[in-house]
Amino acid sequence: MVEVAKVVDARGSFCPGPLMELIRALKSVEVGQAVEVYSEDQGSLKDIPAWAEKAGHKLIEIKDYGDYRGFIVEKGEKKSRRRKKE
Amino acid sequence: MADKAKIVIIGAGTGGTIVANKLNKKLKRKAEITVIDPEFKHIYQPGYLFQIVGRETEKGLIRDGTKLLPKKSKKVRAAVDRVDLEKQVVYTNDNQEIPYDYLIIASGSRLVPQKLEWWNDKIHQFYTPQGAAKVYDHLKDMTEGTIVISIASMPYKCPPAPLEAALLIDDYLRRKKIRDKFNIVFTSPINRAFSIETVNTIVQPLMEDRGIDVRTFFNVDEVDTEEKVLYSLEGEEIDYDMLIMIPPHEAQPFIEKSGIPHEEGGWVEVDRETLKVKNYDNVYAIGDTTNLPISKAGSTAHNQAPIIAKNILASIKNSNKVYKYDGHVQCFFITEIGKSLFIDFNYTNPPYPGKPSRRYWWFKLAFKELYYRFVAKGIV
Ligand SMILES: Cc1cc2nc3c(=O)[nH]c(=O)nc-3n(C[C@H](O)[C@H](O)[C@H](O)COP(=O)(O)OP(=O)(O)OC[C@H]3O[C@@H](n4cnc5c(N)ncnc54)[C@H](O)[C@@H]3O)c2cc1C
Repeated sequence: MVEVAKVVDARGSFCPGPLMELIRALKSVEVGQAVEVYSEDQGSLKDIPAWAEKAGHKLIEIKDYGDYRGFIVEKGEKKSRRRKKE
Repeated sequence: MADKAKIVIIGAGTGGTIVANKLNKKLKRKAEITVIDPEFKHIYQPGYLFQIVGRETEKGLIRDGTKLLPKKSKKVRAAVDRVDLEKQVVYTNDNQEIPYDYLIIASGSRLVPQKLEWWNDKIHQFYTPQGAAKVYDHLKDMTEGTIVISIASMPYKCPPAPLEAALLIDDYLRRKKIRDKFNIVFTSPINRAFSIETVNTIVQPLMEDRGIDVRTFFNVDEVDTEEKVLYSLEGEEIDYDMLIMIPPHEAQPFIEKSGIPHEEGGWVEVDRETLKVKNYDNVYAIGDTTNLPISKAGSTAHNQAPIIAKNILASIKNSNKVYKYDGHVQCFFITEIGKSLFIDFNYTNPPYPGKPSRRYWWFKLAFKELYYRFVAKGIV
């Protein structure tokens, strides 16, 4: 099981709040660690999985806590760049 | 409380000026209003969008802020250094101590590009009059290339502004009959061009019809200004000739320094209805500086000002009446020179803007004068 290194409560915040909170939180953890973001926004169900896939992170689980959900996302490797500055 | 309530307003921008005028009208002799601002240089910020396509000048946007405030209000020309919420005193950077019974935080947002280690002045921005003038200076001499309009991070003020900039630049190049020599790319951090879905269904297709390349889920990671490449966290890269980016925003530093309840970025935690700062009955925040999940816009501050004025008046009169802000925001969304949408929404009702129209364009064009004559002065 991956370690949830950080939990972010984005309840009460609506699109794009929870996604922005997730992006910020992922910057502060290591590759292989996970972040759980709480959201009550329906939009997150679509946004967060689609973004995680595009950005190369892994959506581990969507937990149902009743009136909100917890999205657990594992940080992936940074995508390599076409050009690197010498 | 002494016979006259002391009301102190931090910031003489849109929110501070309107609330000062609304309070002055309601309170007459019941209060003494003090407004603190380092410059009292009032800028009509929507005009930056006209500046980038050469239709407005810096001088045309700026007025003497002291003339927009109530004559009898005290004007303190200084920056607030910190606030002692327990002692109810504001301290300025030139060591003045200003006590208050009621405090209104109206200090807006500030641009913090320095927080991005790769930011330098080869990256254009139009969120200051100087930046907007530089955009036009560069744009007017371009004959071809790729222009990228991008958003460094959220939140930023006036959410439609970067989209409007892309559409206005498209229009400008079409009028010069050189649009076919350019690519215009617009990047958005989320999965659509504009955050409000009902507006996006109109605006994103319109941008795409005009040949603007909309890249979604594009969160800026870094810019290489030597190679002229913009990189995203999602692993995309875009080559550009001219990059225009909305810089990151934060609230003013005195907020964190004073321990005023805030979220990351210094955004003041307020009750979404009463606009009172969390845990404080006599402290309010208005405009860009709040943590509310709605647009940071002048019209937001305009709609919040009467609520704060009425709540303070009720408190002075020892009445239990509470007035509530419903999240109302209206704004114009320019789609081309000559056409604009009108967006109107609140906490519970999303906007349904209809089609871009000439009528709203004319209204938008006239709004600077209406703003300075009526809105800022609290007349409407
Ligand atoms: C390109 C662009 C287009 C825009 N278009 C629109 C539009 O079409 N419609 C709309 O409604 N809004 C628009 N806006 C947004 C609008 O201008 C702002 O949301 C509005 O000005 C916010 O008002 P405010 O009072 O919160 O902050 P401001 O008007 O920014 O005022 C803040 C004031 O606080 C003062 N201050 C800062 N620090 C201190 C300190 N330490 N002590 C004392 N004073 C301090 C500053 O000097 C300033 O006078 C646009 C903005 C931009 C950049």
